Amino acid sequence: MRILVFLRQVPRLRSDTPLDETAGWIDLSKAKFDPNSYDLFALEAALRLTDASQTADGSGEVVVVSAGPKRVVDALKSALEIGAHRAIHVFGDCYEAMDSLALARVFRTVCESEKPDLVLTGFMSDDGNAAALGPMLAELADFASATGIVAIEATAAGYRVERELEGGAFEVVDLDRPALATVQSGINEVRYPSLKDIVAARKKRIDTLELPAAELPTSATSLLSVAPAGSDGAATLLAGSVDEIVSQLVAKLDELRVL
Amino acid sequence: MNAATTRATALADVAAWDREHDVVVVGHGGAGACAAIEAVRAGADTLVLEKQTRGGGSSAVSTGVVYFGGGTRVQKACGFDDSVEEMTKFVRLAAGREADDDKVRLFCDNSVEHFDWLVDLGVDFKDSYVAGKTTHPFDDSCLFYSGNELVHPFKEQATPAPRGHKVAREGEAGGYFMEPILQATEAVGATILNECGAERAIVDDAGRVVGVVARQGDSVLNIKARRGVILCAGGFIDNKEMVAKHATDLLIANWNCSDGFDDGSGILLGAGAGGELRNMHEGLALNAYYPPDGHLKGILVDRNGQRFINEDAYLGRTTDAMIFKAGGHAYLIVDDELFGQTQAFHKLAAVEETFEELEKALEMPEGELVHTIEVYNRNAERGEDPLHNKSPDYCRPLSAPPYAAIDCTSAGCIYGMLTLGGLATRASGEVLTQDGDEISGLYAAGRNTAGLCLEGRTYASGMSLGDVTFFGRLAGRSAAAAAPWE
Repeated sequence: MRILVFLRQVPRLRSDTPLDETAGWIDLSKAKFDPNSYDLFALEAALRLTDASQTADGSGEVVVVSAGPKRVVDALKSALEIGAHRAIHVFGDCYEAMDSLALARVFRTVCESEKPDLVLTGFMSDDGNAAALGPMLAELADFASATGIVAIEATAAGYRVERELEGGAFEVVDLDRPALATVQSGINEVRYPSLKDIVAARKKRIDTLELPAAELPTSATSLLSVAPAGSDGAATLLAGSVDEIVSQLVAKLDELRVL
Repeated sequence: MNAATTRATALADVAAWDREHDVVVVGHGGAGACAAIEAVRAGADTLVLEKQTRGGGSSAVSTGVVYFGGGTRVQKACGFDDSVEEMTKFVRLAAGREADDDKVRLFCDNSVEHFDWLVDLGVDFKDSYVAGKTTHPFDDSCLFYSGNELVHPFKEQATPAPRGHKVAREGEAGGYFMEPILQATEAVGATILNECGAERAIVDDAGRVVGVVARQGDSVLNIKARRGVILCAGGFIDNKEMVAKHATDLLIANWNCSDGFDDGSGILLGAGAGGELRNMHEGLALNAYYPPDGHLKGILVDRNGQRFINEDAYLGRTTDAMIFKAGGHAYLIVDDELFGQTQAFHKLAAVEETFEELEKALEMPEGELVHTIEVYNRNAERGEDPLHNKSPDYCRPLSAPPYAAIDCTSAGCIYGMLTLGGLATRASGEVLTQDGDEISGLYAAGRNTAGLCLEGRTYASGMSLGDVTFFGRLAGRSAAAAAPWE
């Protein structure tokens, strides 16, 4: 079983993260970086599948893939320490600004050479929140797919996944191999590497893939601007007894034609 | 904010009073709530001024651990035989070299009563004990050793007993600790004004505090306090200017143990009325490198690979040592068996198969770390630590490679901090001038004061919540009993 996990390195988002309003995004030169939280849950889900398959028939390989400049190697190393077997670094500065569709096209190239049984990636990224890369990649690579899974197990033909829907309903979907699923956050507890895991990870392969400029896809969308959320400070504080407050609230809702 | 803006206003300059009460409490956190409850119960018409939208203060964002002893219901139920005498011996040590003996004595003599008083208000403690060393029980268990009771040089001077009592809620439970207390403030009949911050005292010709000037939105209110004003507005860790001025060593903090509003305004208000500032350079520093328990079997070293403290001491003591003995540059050396995840997400500075390689990776002078390990291991083999007297329970040689240096530097991990300095007060709450005289009409409690515990290096977890709630009560009673000036 070969599982590809596509991992994104995202800027650590805090309330004091500076924006670069000229560039139209976070000032990456001032940011610290972490692996995308959703992708770590995907990695853990992948490792649990290969742990099980290794117990069963000795097979199972998790390959973690990330696209970006040199700093992305840190995220790949973290993934190797957690337990991924090897890594692929799609190297280049151009990937920072690529949209979901262009990245999906790049990752399709990786899928073509690696021929995975399963692709797992996070439901969305902590920075972009688009939730588009997974389904786009599945479509381009012609993989059976499901988004937002909360459980997965291997079956004879492929994988059985569970998706949590609005209202607390669950959908169970059987996917034929090769398949792709995007993973919801919090579905498992990501294993904490031991010191032995950390040292062992240093010997694991990180292959660098540099795509020729001519082969690089272009983004179909572009980010126009980014700005901090504004506030006009207009708020009315209702005061008085509970009955008085309720009356005032009802009157206000009526005025706004909400009721 | 500088002292000029908090200098007291003269009574003669007050045209009219906007409100009048017997007792005015500034700040609705642990100290303020308890002060108000006692004042109301003593018959005083009591107003609580709270700058934020609701009460709770930094007490509400704490872990919810209170230091009680001398035989509380929980201690007895868990089979621990603690006495007021032994508690007093320990608290005297824990409170620091310049501790106020009255405060120590009253705190210990009345600890069981104070426990019962809080339980009566609705604060819930389970009759359960957690063994082993932790910052606080992570589940809803109650009793644990929260300070340096079991370590050198305390265990030799006072019979250890667990006295940290955490409120019965999972995780960090300060909010659940404060909720019944805040409700009680309202239930007993105190008037609470939220989003109203006191800014200056009002004093008469004789220097007696007769009220406060407060701000509510755009309005300025002159509030008369017939019997007394009680300052319970917290410490000053969130006021970088004050920290730089009074407690430069505490600037190393990168995580303020507060609700973000311990801006020292209550301390400056008291100073503006003549109160003395005491112990302003001291604070409690917290680098939570344990749990896991296994980390205590590691060793803390400075940039030269030298040990500097017994690692099993309470983290207030060890972090103090990291700052003052290691210049904020410390590593916890562990082996593969001991290594685990901390609640503070410590990172690794280096991981290597041998101590020689580790020493090199950390850029330490050649041979120093290796020598430290050799000496440590040799003694730990016998369960001994002649250099720093770590308990035999945590002495075992580091021998299972790979070895790691966990980053405990101030640049690389969380150094939590709160201040321990403030207004000088009597145990009964009266604020004192530099000459040791009481300022009529002015009281203070909690982190607004130089309270029970004056030194982070001897502090026990729970002493702050214990101090603020207990001495808040005493201040409330004192103010309510004072003769009105008008």
